[in-house]
Amino acid sequence: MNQASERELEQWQRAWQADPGRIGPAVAELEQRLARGRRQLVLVIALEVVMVVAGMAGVVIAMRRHADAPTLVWALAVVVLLALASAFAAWNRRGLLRPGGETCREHLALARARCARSMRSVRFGRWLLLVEVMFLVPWGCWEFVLKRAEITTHPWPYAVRWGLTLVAVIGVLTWARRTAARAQREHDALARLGEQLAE
Amino acid sequence: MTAGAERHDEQRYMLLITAFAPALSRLAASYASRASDQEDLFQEICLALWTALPGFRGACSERTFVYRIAHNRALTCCARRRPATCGLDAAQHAVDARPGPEQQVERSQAHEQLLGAIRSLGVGMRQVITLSLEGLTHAEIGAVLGLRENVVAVRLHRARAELRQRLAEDRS
Repeated sequence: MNQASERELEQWQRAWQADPGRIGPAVAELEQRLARGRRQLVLVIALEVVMVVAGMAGVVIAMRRHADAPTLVWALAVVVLLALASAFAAWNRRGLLRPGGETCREHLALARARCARSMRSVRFGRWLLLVEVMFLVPWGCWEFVLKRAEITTHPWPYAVRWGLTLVAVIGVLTWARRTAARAQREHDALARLGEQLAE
Repeated sequence: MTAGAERHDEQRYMLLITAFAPALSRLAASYASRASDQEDLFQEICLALWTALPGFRGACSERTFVYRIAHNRALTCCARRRPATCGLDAAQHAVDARPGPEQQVERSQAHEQLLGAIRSLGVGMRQVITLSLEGLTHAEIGAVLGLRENVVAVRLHRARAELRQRLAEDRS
């Protein structure tokens, strides 16, 4: 490095370090943020467990109340779909805890893998929803044919059930659209950063 | 973790953050353009440092360890936010309290100009130039970013040329 070049670097260093920066947060503050993050994680896992438990409880209650053919088929479908969703959730999370190494490239690779998994979970969610709808529509018709008298005399429990199903479908579709858009945006940004790092 | 180990990590963290907070804050400013994003990123980096500290066994220098964590976290945070916040719009900066008012304005202007030019560089070049401005050698920069020394030298050479050009364009 020649003298002019050294002087230039020193001048830049002085200008750069003229910003005194910030004071670092205390440990107590960081611990609060960590605890908040842990609580959110526990909440997500608890929500998944609650959904599985509620699904299974629903199956047991329905089987005790009406031990007929449509309820049996519905119960079987719920058990299979819940098992499928739980297995997918566990499989889709594997290997995402730590990067393969300490470099920026490996951290970016992990972040991209997380985005890809997030997009995969959205794709799975949409397929699962499609399967559920394809099951529920003929099943609903079958149930209506078998229980026409009961449904016409007491329509409200059935209306509430189908209404809740519709709300759940809309909720899943909204979640899928938002999650996919966010993951895609992040994935693209990570790809651009990766390209810049490779320059 | 035992209470003794926790106290030891707390002491280590306080020592590191006291020594490196100004540099980490400047690094955050090179990645995020809005003041609120810079603050968020700075907090994220400190949090990453605190969580990684118990696993640090001295395989590299503390300086390498701190900057490595900072750059890795900054990259992933940058992607998580909207890319526009990693761009070039005007940022707010703290001013140096030590020099007189005129010097202060002059220094602040020079810093802002430099920061703006640095932010306009690609991420790879931005990383090497900011580490170089913090006084790291080529070998240290290589250790932080996981690059060979000759790659650092080439990238730094290109980054400096580009930075010089951007600053000249700003002045004219």
